[in-house]
Amino acid sequence: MDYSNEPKGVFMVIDNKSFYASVECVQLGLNPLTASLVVMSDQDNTNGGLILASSPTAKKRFHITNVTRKRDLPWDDSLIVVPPRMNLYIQKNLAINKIFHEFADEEHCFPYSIDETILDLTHTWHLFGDSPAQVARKIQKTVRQRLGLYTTVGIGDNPVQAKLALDLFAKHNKDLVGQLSYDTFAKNVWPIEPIDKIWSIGKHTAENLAKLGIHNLGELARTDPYQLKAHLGVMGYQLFAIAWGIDRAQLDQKVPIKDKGLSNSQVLPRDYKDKHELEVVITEIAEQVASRLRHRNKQTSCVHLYLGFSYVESEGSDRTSISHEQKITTTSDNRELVGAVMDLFHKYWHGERVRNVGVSYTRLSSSNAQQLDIFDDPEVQIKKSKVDKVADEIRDKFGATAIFKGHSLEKGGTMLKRSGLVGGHNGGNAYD
Amino acid sequence: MTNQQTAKLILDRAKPLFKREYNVQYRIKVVFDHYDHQFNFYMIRYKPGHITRVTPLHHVESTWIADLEEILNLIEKDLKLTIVFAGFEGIKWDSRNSYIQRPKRKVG
Repeated sequence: MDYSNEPKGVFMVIDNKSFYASVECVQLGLNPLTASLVVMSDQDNTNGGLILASSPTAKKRFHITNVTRKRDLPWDDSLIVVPPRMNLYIQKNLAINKIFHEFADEEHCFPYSIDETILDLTHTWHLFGDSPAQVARKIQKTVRQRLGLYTTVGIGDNPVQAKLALDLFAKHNKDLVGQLSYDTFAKNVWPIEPIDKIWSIGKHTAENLAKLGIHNLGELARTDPYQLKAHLGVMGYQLFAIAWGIDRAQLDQKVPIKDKGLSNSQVLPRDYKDKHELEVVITEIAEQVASRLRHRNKQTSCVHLYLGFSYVESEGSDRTSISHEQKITTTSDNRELVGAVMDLFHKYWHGERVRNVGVSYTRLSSSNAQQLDIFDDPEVQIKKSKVDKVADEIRDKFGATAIFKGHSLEKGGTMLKRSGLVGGHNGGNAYD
Repeated sequence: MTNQQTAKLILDRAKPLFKREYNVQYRIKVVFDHYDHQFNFYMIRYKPGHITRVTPLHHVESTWIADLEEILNLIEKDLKLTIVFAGFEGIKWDSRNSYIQRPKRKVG
């Protein structure tokens, strides 16, 4: 394979080892690698408790994985359980990225998730060491010294190689560094099985590939790309590129977003089957997204409702969820948006038990002007929009629960309980 | 925040957690967090044969042992739980000439 025309640089994908659990270990004065600790969210919708993170030793000793439930935890007093503090983890993530900025400027530092960052060190690595691996060690040591956290580093000639080096090798190597390049890619990555260990290949794709007789990247690399495209669509080409370790992404070029939308969704604390309860919770979410819309000075002309059915309901049935959208006249008015979402709900819901609810607004436009309806009194319309604005301002100043609709107190409402959460889990303000 | 206010805040958070359950040991843990330069306070619920629950109570952005001593004295007046320490190896109390935690033994 001739790689001479492919982009070549020095990329690192850096991951914090068991991030949430490690942060908690450091705060407790424990070593993140040797302590047995899990972070468990105790919210209503987690079925008694959901494990968000576990330290490496807890994983090894008790075979705990993320999303293990509380009922599956061992009865052992050497296992420490702490509640999550999402705000603290966000702070730590910012602190870590600040350290990375000492090695690569902000233009070449791309946070990928709360605990992973991609660094493009093509132009700067030689300032910090004789080899990329040495620079990786230096970054690891700096983070450990200043924050007490351990990091794993994948190094590659392009971002996808770095990511695969991280996932497949760095996590298992003793020095927590893994390296791949165009020269070593085929030898190291092609034989790996099962194929769903590879980033971007999930269970479903793996099954599809197995139907084509493909069980590892080597077989994938030797398959006709047109055949892959015919079976898997555009993903076929992407997988073919990954199989050869090729990634032509220009990370510093922003991807234009075609149709930006705003959405909120949540897992309900129990199955909802009562119509009124569902109306309450859907209204709450619709209003929350509407408020975010107004915050960004946007209006929408398309509303979308998603209802995921409960496990019992979807078992043995073809329909596991409903997902419908409807075009509306451009607006950011609470009543109109809630009305449109309710219309969808009444039209498509036929008494199923619901566990997931999501509302999104797409086709956004900026709201410098208010579109008046010719058939309604213009003054009333302007007044209504002012009421929404005042309510938003009160919430900004005094918090999300300073003013809320009476229905949030009814059975089925979840807004009040969820108001202090970050990403659905305890933000930490309640304790610290 | 004064030391009195800090102690009150910690007590307000710790008392509801101290449920006096049968066969359960409750402890307060104080950690000298050298990375963030602060003291972290926790409540530990330990029951043999069960998972150990640790709940964060508060953190104090100070590294003055005198401050810590005052806060702990105020807490101990109201809530008589065993206090355990971490991260204080080789550090002495401000008011007396004794170690909070003995220094780490040097290996070799």
